[in-house]
Amino acid sequence: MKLSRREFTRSLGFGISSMTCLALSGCGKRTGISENGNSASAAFPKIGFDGFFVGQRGVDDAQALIETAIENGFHFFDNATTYIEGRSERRYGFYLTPKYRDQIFLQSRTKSRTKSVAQVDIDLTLARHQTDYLDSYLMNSVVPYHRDHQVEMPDEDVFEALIEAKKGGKTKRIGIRTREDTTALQALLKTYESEVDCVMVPNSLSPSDKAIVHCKKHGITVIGAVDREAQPNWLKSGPDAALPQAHLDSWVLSLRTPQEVASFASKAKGLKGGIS
Amino acid sequence: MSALKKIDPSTKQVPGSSDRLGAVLPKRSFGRSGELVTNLGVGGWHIGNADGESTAQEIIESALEEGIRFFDTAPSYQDGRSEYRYGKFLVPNYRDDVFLLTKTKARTGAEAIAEIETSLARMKTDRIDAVLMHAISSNDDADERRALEVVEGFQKAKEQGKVRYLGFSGHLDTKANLHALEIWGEAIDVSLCPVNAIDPSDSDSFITNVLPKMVEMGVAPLAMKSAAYGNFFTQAVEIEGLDTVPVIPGRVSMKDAFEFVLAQSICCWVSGMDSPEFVAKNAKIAREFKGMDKARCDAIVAQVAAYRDNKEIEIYRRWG
Repeated sequence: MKLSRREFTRSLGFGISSMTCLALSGCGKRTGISENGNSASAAFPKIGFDGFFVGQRGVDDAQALIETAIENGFHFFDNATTYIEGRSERRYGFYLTPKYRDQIFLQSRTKSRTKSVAQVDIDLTLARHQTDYLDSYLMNSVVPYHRDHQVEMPDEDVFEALIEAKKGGKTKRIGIRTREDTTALQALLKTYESEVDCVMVPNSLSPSDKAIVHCKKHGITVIGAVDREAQPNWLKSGPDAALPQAHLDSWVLSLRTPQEVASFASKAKGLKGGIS
Repeated sequence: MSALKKIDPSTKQVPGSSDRLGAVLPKRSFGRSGELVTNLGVGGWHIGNADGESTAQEIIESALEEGIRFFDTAPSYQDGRSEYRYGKFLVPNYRDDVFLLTKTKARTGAEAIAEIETSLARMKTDRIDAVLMHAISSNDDADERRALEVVEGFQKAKEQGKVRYLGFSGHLDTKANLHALEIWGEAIDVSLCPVNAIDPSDSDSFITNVLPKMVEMGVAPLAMKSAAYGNFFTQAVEIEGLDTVPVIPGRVSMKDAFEFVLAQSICCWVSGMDSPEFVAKNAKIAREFKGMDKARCDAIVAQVAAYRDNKEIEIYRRWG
């Protein structure tokens, strides 16, 4: 099954370098994929843009955020079905995908608790984004709700709907979002390890966490998600603090204003790879 | 239509009846459809908000025991939790016994079609009785949903037998509700708007401006915010020259406040109820309602008129 992931990555390719490659000769000939199974991470964009504030801000601010992100080199756009009751996804659909779909890597996430809901929730996400495919689609391993402390467990077979969605061409990659406690993720990885392309973890999660160790061993991309509350502080501390730590392959940033987008981008210019 | 003949003009209701589950609350006409629905409905936000699944289950089951057969929800409530709970505790055993209403914030027809599928899946049913365009907030908002053919999406779902009635909800601005009624006309079967004892004193009153239009068009009028998101019970707002007390029971009793709602031209009082005890209290009011004359209604309105245009109490007028 690992082979299939490698083949998949080979056929997909992504990131600026692979975009160039696409223009020159097509990505099917992409080479240099390591034999340790770490191929998925090689093609995953390094820095992502969080869609939360695109839904939370006024519509003019949302458009400005998107345009500034594009101007400054962001091409990995993260989102979730439940952000601002769907408004974040709708606004990507109105202001991002019509102009930039073929240039961006689009990721979203479902809070489905049952397989039958997950089977149709991706269609809702596609409809809102006004696209016919995602680059990456994740489920939540546990379902929290931001306004209270109740947490729900999805049924054990929800991930099967994501596998179907990938087979059906609705998403290129599939993965799982976890909170600090990775117990549920570990169980899912045990069952579906060969099908999981990526996991999204809190950036504060320890590199020695069992789930991260498992992902590194099996070549599963690990995406860090920034704590929105804590981010303003570390943004001030410079670009190094804003880049993924060694155990993370990719990192989604929560930038609230066009100024924050530009400020981060200017700091990132001096860094190897920039925003790629 | 024979059922219509039994409607008592003083209460606009058919008296309580019974079905396989037991005694049923009095019913009213669901707009021009002629279908009947119970005069009290369960507001789904509080089902999703209930602390734990067993509490949600108790509220649902007590509502059925008390004779309620109308259940409201929305996919956006608690990121779907309200609909999931109906799918666990209401639909599996009672789908054929109840009228089920949900909503969508979709801005395009394709999104509406897709979101209805997610509501069906969450609630584990193959049909929803009514779907509302959720929270129309302004004329522009209505125009945008119209231009992007949300209603056309609805109608496809209706043709497929997945939805029976279409409508909208709105709690911000009566102009938006009236505009929505105007632009969609006969496509609208049902509409949910705020109805409470303070509203007639507000400078922008849903009872005065919107309800008569709905009745004229034969749109089924559903009432919400009967206690202003519970603020009638909890917000003791300072008003010059008055004691600082909550509206209920400081100014009016719970019974008066809610009988006032039932006395308006509505077909169902949709109430958010956070416990079986609250369900029982509301159901008793709905069951025993005998009508309320204009003088009594006016007296209740006068009791709370000092709270007019106060968004600390009518907080839903802030929710854009």
